[in-house]
Amino acid sequence: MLVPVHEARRLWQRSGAERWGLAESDFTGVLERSAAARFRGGPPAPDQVAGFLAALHHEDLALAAACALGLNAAWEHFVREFRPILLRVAGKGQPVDRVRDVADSIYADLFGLEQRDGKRRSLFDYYHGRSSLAGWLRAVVAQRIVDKVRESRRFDPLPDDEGEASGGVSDGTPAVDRERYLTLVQGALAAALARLEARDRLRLSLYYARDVKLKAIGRMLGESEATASRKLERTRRMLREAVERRLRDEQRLTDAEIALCFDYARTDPAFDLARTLPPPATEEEGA
Amino acid sequence: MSTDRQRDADLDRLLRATLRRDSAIQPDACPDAGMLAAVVEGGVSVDERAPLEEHLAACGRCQETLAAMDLEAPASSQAPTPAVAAKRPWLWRGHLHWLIPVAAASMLVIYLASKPAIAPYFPPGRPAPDTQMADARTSQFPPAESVERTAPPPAAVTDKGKTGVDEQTVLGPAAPAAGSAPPAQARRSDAAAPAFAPKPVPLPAKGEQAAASGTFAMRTKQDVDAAKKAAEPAAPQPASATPAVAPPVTATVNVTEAAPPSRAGLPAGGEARLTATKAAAPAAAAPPTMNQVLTATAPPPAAEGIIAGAELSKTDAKGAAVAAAANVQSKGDASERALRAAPSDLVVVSAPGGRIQWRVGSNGGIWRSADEGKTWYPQKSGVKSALLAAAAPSVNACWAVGVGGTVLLTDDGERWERRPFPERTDLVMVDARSSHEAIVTTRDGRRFATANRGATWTLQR
Repeated sequence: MLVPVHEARRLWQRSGAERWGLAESDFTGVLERSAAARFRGGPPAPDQVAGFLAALHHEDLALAAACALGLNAAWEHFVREFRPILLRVAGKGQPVDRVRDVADSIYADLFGLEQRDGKRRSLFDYYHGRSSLAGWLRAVVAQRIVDKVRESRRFDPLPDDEGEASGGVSDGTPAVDRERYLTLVQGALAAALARLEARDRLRLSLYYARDVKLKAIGRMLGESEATASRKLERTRRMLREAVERRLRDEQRLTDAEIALCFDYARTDPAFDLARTLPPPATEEEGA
Repeated sequence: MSTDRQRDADLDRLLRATLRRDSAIQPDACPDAGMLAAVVEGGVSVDERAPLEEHLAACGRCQETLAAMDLEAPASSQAPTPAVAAKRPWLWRGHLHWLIPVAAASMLVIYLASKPAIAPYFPPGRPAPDTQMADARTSQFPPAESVERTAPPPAAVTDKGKTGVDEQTVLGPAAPAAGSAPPAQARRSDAAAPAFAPKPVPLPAKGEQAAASGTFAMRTKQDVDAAKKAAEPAAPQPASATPAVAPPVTATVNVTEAAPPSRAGLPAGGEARLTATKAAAPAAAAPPTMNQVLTATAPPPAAEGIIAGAELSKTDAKGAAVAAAANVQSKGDASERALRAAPSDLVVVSAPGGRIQWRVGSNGGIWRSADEGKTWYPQKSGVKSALLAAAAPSVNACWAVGVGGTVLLTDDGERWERRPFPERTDLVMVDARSSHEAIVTTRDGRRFATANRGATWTLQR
């Protein structure tokens, strides 16, 4: 037992669980499960447990636990208050039929239509209270949608291969040189990216690859929009300097050749950077 | 040959192409929805966050999930549980919520009108914090080729601490001790009398007033009336003072008296030197007129980043009080500056020995002095939140806390780092034994302790 009895009682009273008819023992079980998931590595110190418990969203945890048990009052409140959030996230930039599919599947999983070992399993069982219930719901819906989209990509026809770069450009540069310059600049950029801190890489990826706006990036990283913008600008400046330095010092390119590298990256319509480099080292290869 | 801006645009294209390549991370390695939400909401500890960010920086699936989570939606869109909703005052339940921005704007106007000058605090050529923030907000990251980016929002509508409104003004300064005089800001509108009355009026014995230290606290009309009715019939009254005027003294609100921190968690021998003297706005009843402010001689130019002690002496409660006690007349620029209205949002702490001092305040402002407050150097806090309290247990260590769970720590006296805190709640007090051990107090009275430089916090009973 990680959660002291008196602490569990105090948090149960504070969470307003009685409003939903949630018993103290059920709420204590939820706290235990959440603490066990957090301290999977080993027995924590009492103050660590106390700090962890204090930081949980207790009211949301009680509501989720009551919903998982199928208590009517809790479920009615959840549907009334959280359905707009679910629909808004599910509907963001998605076709209507996909929104409905996702929303329906989530409702079913939240209610717990699936049974395992004779016991109903609810998606609420996976809510551990470390975030708000609304935030958790947004993440659940987002993950469902993303997984559906990614799965459908596997079956989308591949884009027509536009072929290699044209044999030459107006400056008469042979194609092999164009390919070489493009490969060099991409290699320099990849090396510079690898040297960034994870937080800076994440900020760059969210902005450039996922088209997330600065305000949202700042919110995710606990920064203001102005701070996110400033750090992004600083990172980009560092990358540019690192790329140019690498091309100049290691590849022995002249300034004119460095300029060509960037020009070709801009103007070559058929250049696919994904084809020129192997995928980055990841935690697990495959799929 | 590419121009400089063209080069930047080319790099943008390269970045977009490079970063969109999907990585081959197995879904089983991805954090669950709860952890993703906790990352977004700041609900993970610092030791958890680093490996999570490593994964997120490399995982296309998680990045797409974050992008799909509608992070732009305001936090208030989260449906509150009835307990939370019931706790909210009537104003927050949708009734007359339009009053809030109006009230905030009104307070901003009052605050700006009551602050004669903030520019003198900073050397010429260096913008004041509010201007710096405005500049940062208006600088826009170059837009991508075909994707429209939002410009930074107008200064008036941003996250907490970034509205341009001094949070301390909006939220109100720390509650003064019972029976003490209200802050001077409330009395600024009473300006009518000459800037400086010749003689200060003794205070009624109310305990918390700074009479014991030999300084004079601010007088309000009530205090003046009370003094008249007190058993001091011979107390001299300024002949030129009107009933609405109080002597031009600086208010000294001692934060420790308002809510004295319990020292139970700290050993007596190693108790941190905690001198959180809040230099509140002074001379509310008799501020200098605008002409006096505008015609005051500008301070001598200081080196970049160095703020002359004389300019900041107005924020130094002790310095201002000494000047007031010396019956400074409205004679010279130096005396005027000494008694000019000072920002009410600076908290001053001294390290043991008194030589090293820090000041913290709104917009994440931090200044350090190594010569007992004669000169001040600004330091980078990395935050824009209002800082409400500080503690300096040694000459190199200082803790600063503020709104939204902001906890800052320096242990070399120069660089500040933000420490995680489990709740985004306002922290109004801090006691520190060392750079490792500290106790913070939330606005609702709860106390959290740390023994590992703020990596983890424990709720105290």
